[in-house]
Amino acid sequence: MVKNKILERNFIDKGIKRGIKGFILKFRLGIILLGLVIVSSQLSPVFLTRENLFNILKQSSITGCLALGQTLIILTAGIDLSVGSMIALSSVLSASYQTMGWLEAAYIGIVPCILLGWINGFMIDRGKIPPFIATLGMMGIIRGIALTWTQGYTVVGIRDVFRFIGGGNIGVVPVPVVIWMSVFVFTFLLLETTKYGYAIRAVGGNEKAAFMCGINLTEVRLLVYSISGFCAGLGGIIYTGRVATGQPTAGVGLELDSIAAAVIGGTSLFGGTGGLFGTLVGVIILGVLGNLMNLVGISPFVQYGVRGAIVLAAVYINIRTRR
Amino acid sequence: MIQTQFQFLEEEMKGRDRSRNCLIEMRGIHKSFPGVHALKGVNFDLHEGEVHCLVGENGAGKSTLIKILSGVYHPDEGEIYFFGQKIRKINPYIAREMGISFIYQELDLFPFLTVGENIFLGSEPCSRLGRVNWKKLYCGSVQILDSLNFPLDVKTKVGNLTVAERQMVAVAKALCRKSKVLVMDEPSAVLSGKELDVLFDNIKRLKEEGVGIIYISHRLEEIFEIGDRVTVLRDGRCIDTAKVKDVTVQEITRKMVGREVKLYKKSLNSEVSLNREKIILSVVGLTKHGLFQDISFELRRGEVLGFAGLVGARRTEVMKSLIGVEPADRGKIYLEGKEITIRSPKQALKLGIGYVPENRKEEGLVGCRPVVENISYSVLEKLSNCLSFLRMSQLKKLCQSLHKTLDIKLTSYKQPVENLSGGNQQKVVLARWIAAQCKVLIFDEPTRGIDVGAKAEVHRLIKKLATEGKGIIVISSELPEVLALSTRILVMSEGRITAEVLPEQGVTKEEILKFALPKSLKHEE
Repeated sequence: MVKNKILERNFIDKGIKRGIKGFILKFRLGIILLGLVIVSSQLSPVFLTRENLFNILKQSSITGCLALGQTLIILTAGIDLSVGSMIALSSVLSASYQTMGWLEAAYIGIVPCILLGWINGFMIDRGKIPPFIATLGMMGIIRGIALTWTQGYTVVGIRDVFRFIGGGNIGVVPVPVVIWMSVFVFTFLLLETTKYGYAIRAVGGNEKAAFMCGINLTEVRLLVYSISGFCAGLGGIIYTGRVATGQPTAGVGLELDSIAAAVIGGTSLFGGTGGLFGTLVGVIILGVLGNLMNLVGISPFVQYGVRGAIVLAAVYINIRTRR
Repeated sequence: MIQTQFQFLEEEMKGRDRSRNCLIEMRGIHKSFPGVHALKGVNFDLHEGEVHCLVGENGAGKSTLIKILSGVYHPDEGEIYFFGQKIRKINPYIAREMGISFIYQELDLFPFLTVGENIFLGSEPCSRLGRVNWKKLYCGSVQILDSLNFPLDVKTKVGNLTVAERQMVAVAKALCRKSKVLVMDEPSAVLSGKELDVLFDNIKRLKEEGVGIIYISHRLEEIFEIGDRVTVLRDGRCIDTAKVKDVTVQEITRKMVGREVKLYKKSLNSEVSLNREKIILSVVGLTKHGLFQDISFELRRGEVLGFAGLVGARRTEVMKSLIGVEPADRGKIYLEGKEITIRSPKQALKLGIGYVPENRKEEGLVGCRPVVENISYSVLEKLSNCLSFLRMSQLKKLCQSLHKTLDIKLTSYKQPVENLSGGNQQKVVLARWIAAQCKVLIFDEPTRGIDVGAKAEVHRLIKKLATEGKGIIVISSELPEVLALSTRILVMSEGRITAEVLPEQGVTKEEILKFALPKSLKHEE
């Protein structure tokens, strides 16, 4: 009898332990973020103010948009290195044509990026060029176009409507954050509730099997690379609004930040596993971390190192917990 | 029990008598894979200067045994002795160092290296500083190839050679190591007449030099030409080991296939197929150069058409060209009387032809995705509305009904497929294709690597689909399975259909095997 009871206790204990473990596993990103927020609020009194929190989100919004498109691509076991350059292209194009009206200028900025993304997808699908190489080449080409377009100069004289996109508020929420969240909702619905979403993960998880059961690989690839182009174009518009100039040198290194955010968010670079919500949290973690280091007064040189270390730690945790 | 122990002792005594030249001894080897007990206590030994042949049906455990010998797999139980010395742990490197060389079925050569480089790979003649002595390497390769009577240019890339020439390189590679034991896994599968003679001359010469050779082949007549002893494996058990001169082809064949199979019950009344004499799919003269020639057959509603044959008969290739993975060069396909051309599996699916691949891990499942997603892949189009949003409630209903009919054991629909057992994984693949509601379903090795219980369920399911009026094609290398499932059987060998037989007329496994074996044997009989 006694033995039975002990056994029962053990069983329950084990169950609880497993429950806790499962909880930590499931919400590990949330726990990391919460930990960061608690530490930050202790270290700096301004951290938890509404202005600062919205500021973090505002600063993260460009990377945030890129990371959403990037995640879709990584889920298909691809990668897009050209998004940083696309920001510059979208920025200079929209700034150059802003006299036509802000909506038209935004179109002129975004549509070429979608087309270039489509070309990325085409090269990868039809040309069988590895995604890394195809988008690396595209990264150089687009940067070249952006620089040639302005002959290296910055486009100045941005009108107020445009500045509203980068720095204005709707209610209390900054416009870039609204844009970012809209893109999130759009991509999230696409990934989780449409046939394309299922196909995207299938292609990344096992391309051969996906092909054998009748999934159109070409369609999926063209779709994700175009969406990534769209996200980058939108990021460029936000950028123009925020700095009030068209910069041909904008967005250098942002492609890597977007990849880092996706990876921190639990998306596997081998494709197939991961999701957009994780990426969203990943972007915010990177944003909060940067903000914290600024508030505490850590030199920007050191910040690079810390961010690199965080990426490694996050990936390590993801690999360990998946086993 | 006592008897087996006695046998064991007896064998041990025999072994001791000849212990001076016993090269390899394997005792009581057990090996299980998830869902399959591949080897059940196999004993095997090899003496100096003998050719010991290993025969058995596909899946009898020959390759597993060899892979244990080379250290690719570790046995669950059993002892292995090399040169009288007990070996605890083998890996391919140790095996090579001890003088055991392997020539595998899948050629393990590097296509972008030259013939010479491939031959000496891993044992390159080096200077003291580690620089490769190319002159020595190429001279050495020329010598080896000359001594073997293989006329090959040592500086051409292996990728440019024919399959037969590559096989010669593989043999040369194994020989340059001065091995004491040589394991050949179907070396003759791709060789023909003259090349085969050269290979046999070499084997005989090596035998005289005292090298022990383990020889695996489907061509039984070769065993009588070069073999000294022969061991028959069946279902992971050692059925018999005998001197070649004491046995006949018929005896070996019977031992290879002769099993009492209770699992397979002959049912599927032929009336069903006769009543609905409607041809659903007909294939005329399908040809792909170098792979298969002139494949023609008809498939009727409610019929299970079996494709029997040995590995390498190109049955899978025919089916893959049928569903458009690698379209054929010539030939016509008619579906319900209309001529169709299929260029991709997507098109095949739209027309109502489904293919359940033989390798579920590589071509069937997306392992990291949940069960529900894996089932949905073939019906994504049907289950989505005009804005391509999926109808989730319908998908869930579909999964529930399939889960029930197939009795898939899982903890939740969100469980990744790779965490399921082999049999349940196979059921998920089947569920996907049943959901697609195809008119023609092709099952390629539907029960490979799954346990007996799941096997029976899969058989029941295939028969049920046939009675529902679908046209079913089953490829299987297990003869009892084909015999039990099919209303009609086509036998393929070397890319051709060699026979059409009706199981009702009391066709025996031996007869089918006769048609399935490559031509060379048939002439002799």
